Amino acid sequence: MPGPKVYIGWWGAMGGPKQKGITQYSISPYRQRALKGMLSGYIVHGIRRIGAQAPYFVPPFAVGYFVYTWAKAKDHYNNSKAGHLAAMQAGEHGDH
Amino acid sequence: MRILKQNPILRLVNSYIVDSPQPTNISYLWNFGSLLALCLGIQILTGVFLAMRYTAHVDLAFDSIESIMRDVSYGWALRYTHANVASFFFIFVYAHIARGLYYNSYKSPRVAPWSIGVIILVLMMATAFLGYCLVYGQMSLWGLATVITNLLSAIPWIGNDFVEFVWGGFSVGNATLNRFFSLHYLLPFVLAALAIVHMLTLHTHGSSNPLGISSNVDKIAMHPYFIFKDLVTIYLFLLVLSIIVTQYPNLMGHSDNYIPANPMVTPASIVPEWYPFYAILRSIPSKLFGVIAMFAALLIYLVMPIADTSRIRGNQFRPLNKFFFWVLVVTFGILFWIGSQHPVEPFVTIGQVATTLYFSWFIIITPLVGIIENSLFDIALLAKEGNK
Repeated sequence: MPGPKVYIGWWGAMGGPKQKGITQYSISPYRQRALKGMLSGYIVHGIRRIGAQAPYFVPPFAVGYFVYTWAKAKDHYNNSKAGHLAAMQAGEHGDH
Repeated sequence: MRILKQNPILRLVNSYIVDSPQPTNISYLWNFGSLLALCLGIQILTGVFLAMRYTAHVDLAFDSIESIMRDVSYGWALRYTHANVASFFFIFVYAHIARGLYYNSYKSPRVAPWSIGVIILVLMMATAFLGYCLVYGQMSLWGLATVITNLLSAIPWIGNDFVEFVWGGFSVGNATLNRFFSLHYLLPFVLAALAIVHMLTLHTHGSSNPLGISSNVDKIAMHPYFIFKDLVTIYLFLLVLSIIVTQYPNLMGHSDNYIPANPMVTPASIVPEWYPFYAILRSIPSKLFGVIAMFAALLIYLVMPIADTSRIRGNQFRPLNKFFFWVLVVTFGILFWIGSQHPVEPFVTIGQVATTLYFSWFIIITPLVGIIENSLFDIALLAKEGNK
């Protein structure tokens, strides 16, 4: 059990604001639909939630993807006949 | 009273995984801990059975594994499970750390679980490295055993002698394989002990939550709520794992490791799987500083509790830091990819830029973003007070 100067509390002494007037509601167990709206809800709200984060993760991934494709194309060119010729004319890789 | 709450040992179990109070709002990103515990369990179990038939000898190691694959009933399942869970171990560890970085889980009062986590990361990578060597294929011998142990030769003055001491000879050989097997069997138990300390330190203050506020406001018990939530991802993982083990067992491996180790033939390229830190090593021309940078890239996670100057926990309400979190994720991905490429242009330059960005994220960007955001909040609050 946690002692003093500890962040977490144990049941009955959480350290949070005092709770009062707790009301519990429940649906009759015969009426419960545990997975109601799970899929349709996710399609709408999941896309909305992820879309709201897009401004934060799309730019870095776009730059990363651009670097990846650019470097692959450049490497492909460097290993092609045209690339070898260009390197030779530029005075690099004289042994080709 | 129930025995679960009376017995001194069961009482601990109860306070950790049954009655333990958990924040109501922790998301599925808080599930990686239980997945990692499961991975460690699977690895120890399958590993114990694999060790019953594995032979740690340079002439027999590769064949003994082929024998497990072909002759032992369901030996292929044991071996492929062990190999693929090792990959998932890495995926989950990186996700677990990313969660910690995103929600600033390292912030006081949870510095201890974070610091022990970094040590677990280093030890877990060492264990995985030793295990990969045991297969004794070409990638085991060259990619890992030879290249990685040779890093030790960068230590000034004693380097070369020290490498020979580690090898137990003048090159990677039978003595090396035997000691690697011995350590690969030992370290997971050290890892398990550290994981328990990780839990001990976590349970002093409990889990944080996505909002970054005190978790004490609203709590529910670990069992049944989070036991069953953890089981959702555990079953999902077992489903994906069983598909990979039975249908695509070599998806995450390298074909070169199906060629028996041959000290006379060097493979065309060295690809250490799951180690983006290899790209950092190669980005620095000096061998010694490259080795230092590679280890620093792991240990730098220890500075996060100090480097993060923000007064707010988590990225939920910190747009600037949220953006830079994704910059780190992309940098990490680029290092991953560069590590698997030949050291030629333009990959070398990209690797060097990514390495610089990686280190500056921890020691420049994070503190600076924290100061900027703190100042902006202060300015906004002052303006609000001025309007009154």
